[in-house]
Amino acid sequence: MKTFTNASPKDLAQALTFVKQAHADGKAAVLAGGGSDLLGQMKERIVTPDGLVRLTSIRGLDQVKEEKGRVTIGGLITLDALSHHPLIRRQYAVLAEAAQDVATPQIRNVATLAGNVMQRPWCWYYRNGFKCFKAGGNTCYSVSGENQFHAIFGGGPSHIVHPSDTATALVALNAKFRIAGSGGERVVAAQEFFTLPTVNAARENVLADGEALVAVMLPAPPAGMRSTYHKIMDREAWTHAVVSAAVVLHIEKGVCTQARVVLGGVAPIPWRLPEVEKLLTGQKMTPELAAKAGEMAVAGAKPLAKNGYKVPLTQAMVKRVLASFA
Amino acid sequence: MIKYLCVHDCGGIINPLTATSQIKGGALMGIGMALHEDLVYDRRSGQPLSAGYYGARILTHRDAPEIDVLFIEGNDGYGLYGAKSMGESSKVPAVAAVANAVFNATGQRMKDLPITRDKIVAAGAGVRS
Repeated sequence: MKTFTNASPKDLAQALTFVKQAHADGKAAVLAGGGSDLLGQMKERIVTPDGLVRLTSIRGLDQVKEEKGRVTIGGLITLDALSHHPLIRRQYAVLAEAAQDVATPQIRNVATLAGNVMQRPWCWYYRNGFKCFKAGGNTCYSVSGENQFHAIFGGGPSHIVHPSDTATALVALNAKFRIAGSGGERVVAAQEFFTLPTVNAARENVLADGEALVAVMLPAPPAGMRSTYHKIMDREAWTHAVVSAAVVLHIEKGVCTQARVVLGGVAPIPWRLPEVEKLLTGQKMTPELAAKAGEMAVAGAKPLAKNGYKVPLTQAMVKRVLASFA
Repeated sequence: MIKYLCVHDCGGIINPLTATSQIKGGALMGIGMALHEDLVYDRRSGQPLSAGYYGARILTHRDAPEIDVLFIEGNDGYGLYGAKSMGESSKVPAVAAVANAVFNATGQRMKDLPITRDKIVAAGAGVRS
């Protein structure tokens, strides 16, 4: 592991100043939450910052606050605390379920919501030190290589799948992200936060160096809102989604008045299905409608040589998850 | 996998508790080999892609099925109390047993390990809709 300095700032402003100072000195400094992914990458020398600025030493960045029905979640909340929080479990089940499905209990006790959203891809080329787009190179090795777990939508020039369960749930919940930088704060809708590789193949989102995702804001849930997260894995624990679905439906008198359906594990960003959402709006959920939605969900999929199985898998998953709302 | 049954002839069983645990351990290794574990290489560079605990997809506790173990005891006169070595013999038939179970469930003969979802779908078993 490359030698690095570790800073424990007393507040967010100091943290951002530390990073800005490091950059001005020509050094690479990164903000760290739980560090459960960052430290692993540093040990493998996939990333080699000169300095770490630990946000976990700052108090108050991990709170869940409710105001006029809207909920703000501090980015530093652990996935375990998030998944067990009574308000989140009751009103935003998709997020609690997504947080609970991440990794293992040990990791969930340390990993933060912001860190999970910002997680780097788990493509085995990137994680094994291949000089691909994500590592500053100019190729994607999965295209003609082992692409069993890569994208069937939105791929190119990089074909990674977005690894975060909570990101998928947050897009389905129409969340907003509050981002702090040394120049001030900005708010970005979750859906606009994640970017396709055509925007910048080296990055998965719009967060700039020296910025921190400090809070997630959720709109007040209307009375008839029901949601769920379904994660298909290739073993029962400690694994990323092969494919997953976050579904948020507003149901009034048995009829779906609004739908948001977002897929994980299939694209470089949480993959929203606007055609499926249109299909469901104004309809009563039935097994037939769910089946039609499943077919529609995979229309236009572009599988690679070895990940064609994700297409029927996604279709069946969407059908089964939607049918559970019938 | 819901249930896995092992039936072994290890002669006389001296400590049934540890003997049963030993058989279960071997069986789990075999089930992991059949269904999960793979060493994937990038064909162009020869670099392994799935090294490490996370990449190798070793079974977790939650993947372990219910395993029943039965012993057929006997004494062929050679070992103490007729005991025979057991080793990890339960691993040996595991892959074939799992592959037969997959055939029973899907009608497809799988000849490539591990027997993962993508191979079952590709073999034409399809996804039940």
